[in-house]
Parts: sequence; structure tokens; C-alpha cells
Amino acid sequence: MKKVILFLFSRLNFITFLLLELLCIWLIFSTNPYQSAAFFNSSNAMSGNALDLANNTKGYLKLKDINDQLVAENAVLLKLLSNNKLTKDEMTALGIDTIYVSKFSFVAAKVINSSTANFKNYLTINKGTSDNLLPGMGVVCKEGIVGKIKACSKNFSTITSILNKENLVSCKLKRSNALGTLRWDGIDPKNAKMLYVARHLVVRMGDTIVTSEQNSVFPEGEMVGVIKKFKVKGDESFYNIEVELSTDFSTLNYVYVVKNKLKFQLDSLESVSTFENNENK
Amino acid sequence: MVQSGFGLIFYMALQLLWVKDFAFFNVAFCFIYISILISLPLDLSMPLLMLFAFVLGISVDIFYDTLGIHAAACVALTFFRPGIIRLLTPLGGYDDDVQISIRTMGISWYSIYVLVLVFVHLSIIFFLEAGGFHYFYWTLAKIFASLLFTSFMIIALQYLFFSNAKR
Repeated sequence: MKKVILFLFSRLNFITFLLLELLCIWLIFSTNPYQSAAFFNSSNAMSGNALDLANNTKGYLKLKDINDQLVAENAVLLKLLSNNKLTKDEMTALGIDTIYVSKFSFVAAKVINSSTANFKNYLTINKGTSDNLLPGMGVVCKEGIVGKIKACSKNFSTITSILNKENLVSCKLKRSNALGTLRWDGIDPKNAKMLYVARHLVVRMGDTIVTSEQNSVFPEGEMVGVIKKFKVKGDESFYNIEVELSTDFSTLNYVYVVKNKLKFQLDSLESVSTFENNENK
Repeated sequence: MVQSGFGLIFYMALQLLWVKDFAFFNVAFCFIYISILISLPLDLSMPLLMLFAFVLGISVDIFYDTLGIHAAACVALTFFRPGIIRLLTPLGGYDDDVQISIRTMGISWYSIYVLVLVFVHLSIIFFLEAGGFHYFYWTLAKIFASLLFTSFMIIALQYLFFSNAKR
């Protein structure tokens, strides 16, 4: 026993090295959501405040650009508003489902930290649980979709960007309603791949891609991008589609968090039906 | 002691609040905080130094949302550093308690030392981040572009601010 202890002690450097590296590897590859949600990400109060401070200081240099973006966005919203001046009674008369129309609400937030050049990119925004944000909510901007909330602290949230190999988004071709899955390929922040579009469907250059109704994160029909090029190889059953993303992640300043008021109902319904399916088996 | 404490805060603030956003052509990153690790004293006990490197790496990871990756690279760098110094030192060697800086070692020795250590560090970071070798050439491009950028920044800052300081 004494010899073992002496041996371990003589290799103390190497053993410390091994233990620390194993701890790191565990942190990197563990899929336990709690360990990442709790403290160790950019939304924790300390890093959030530091990033906010840095962003505020740098923000002064970008004020003109931010202003231009907001003015352009206001113009679009005003136009939408003038097209959609329906009261609740009119909607009922027209047979529009008022629950569906008011299903989503939006919370505006400022991006205080973002990256586009890594293999897994994240953003940090300056709103958190005190604005009733929760992990799993979708994030969009004027041009298109941005990502999904990964973790929240009181005043900050970390967002898994769609420029992240692990973030898959269900989307469809606007023209033909053909469903597919959007996945970023890890290199170019302007392009992504649309997977699983069957080859018997008609696909055209420049087709618009929007989010599909098969997700509870984003509203249906949120802009994703346009088809830049596509090809299908000899015996493959799916197209290889390259999508030019409509969101410009390098100039992202303000984003909107999507709150789906029916998500809770939808999720509980889905879990009930999965449960029943399992019972029937 | 006061000077190294100042250096720690200076480099971390520079890294996390400003240099973090740099990504030239999407390949060249600047990890200026490595400067802290490569100028750690050599006469402290290794487990202690590695623990310090681990904490430093985790703090960087929190800001980059890459939990564990920078920490793994920092610990490895600290572990391999004495070996690399022994390789670079001519036969007969220097004293054990020599402090490594441009002033004591000369700029050419120091540059090679920085290049080797930063290369080890960046290789670990980028291959861990890619999760393997499927983006091999792209990862390699990132490593070499960032190696030039980071090493240049480290040497330049050391030369400007810390080379004529008394120890």
C-alpha cells in the first residue's frame, strides 16, 4: 500500500494532468443539460454583465447602422399594420382563428455577444427569465430565423445559433410545401444545407425556404433563405440543396424572441399521445 | 507579483471584451490570453500550475460558450511546457529559476518558444471544437492563420509593454 501511494505521489504531475483532462473531456462531451444550463455559459450574471458593458461601449461606433436597421424595420412593420387592420369581430366573421393569430408574442432583445466563425456558434442577448424567457424558445430577426434559446439567467440568455452543427430546423419550400431539414455545414456563415428533400419533387433555383409548421419553436412561414444551388447524384434519393441564409449574422444587433403561447398545450398533448402509443404497443 | 496580477487582468480583459470578436476571413483568431500561460513561473509546483490553467481555461470557455475546450488546451499546454523548454534550450542549459521573457531569452529564442506553444494550444482547441478530423483542411487553415495572428500579437505586446520591466 505504501509503495502504491509513493508511486502515485512520484507521478503526481501526470496524474493531475490526466484527471484535469478527463474532467475537460467530460465537460465537452457530456450531454447533461443541467451542467450547461446552470452556470457555465455566457448567460451567467458575471459574463453577461461584462459582455453587456463591452457591447455598450462598442455600440456607440455602430449607432448609425443600428438606427438605419431599426428605421427600415419600422417601415416594414407599419406597412404590415396598415394591411391588417382587422378587429376581433371582423376576424370571427371572416372565420380567422383568433387563437392562431395571437398564438405568438415577441420580446425584443439586444445581441451583446455573437460569433460566426466557430463550428458551433452561440449568441448572448440581454433578456432572461425576468422577461419570462425560457430555454427552447425560438429567436428571429427582421430578415429571418436566428436560433433557439439554450440557457437563461435572470437578465441574460444564451442562444444556439442556426450556425451550429447541432441545431436542426424543420423547414419547407414555400412554393411546393416540400418538407426538409436545415443544417449548417460548419464553414460558411452565409450558407447552409437543406436535407431530406425527396428527388421526385420539383426544386428550382431561387426558391424561397421558410420554416414549416412541424416545429413548435418558430412560427410557420418565417423566412430562412433561398436556394442557391442544388444537384442530385445518380442513385441518391434526396436532393443536395445549398441554401443562402437570409439572416446576416455579422450585423445582428436586435432580435426577437418568439413566445409560443400554445407550446405548453402542444407539448403536453404530444407527450400524452406518445405515452398512449407506447401503451398500445 | 503586482506586475503579474496586472498582466493577468490586462490580458483577460483584452481577450474577453475586445479581441474575442476578431475573426479575420473567418479563419484567423487571436487568443492573446495564452500570453499568461507561457509566462507563468517555472519554479512553482506543476499540479498547482495546472489547476490555475484549468480555472483560466474555464473562465475563457464561459465567454466563448465552449465549455471544456479552452480548459483542456490550457492544462495540456502547462503540462508540456517544461518539456518544450528543455527541447529548445541548448545543451548545458540555463538556470532552473530563469524567468522566461524577451529580455532574458532574446527575441529569436522567445519567438520560436511562442510559436511552438501556441501551435500546441491552437491544435487542441480547433480539433476538439471540430469534434474530430472531418474538417481537416479547414481546421488546419484555422490553426495556421490563428498561429500567425496570435503569436504576432503576443510577441508584439510583450515587446511593447513588458520587455523593459525590471524583475
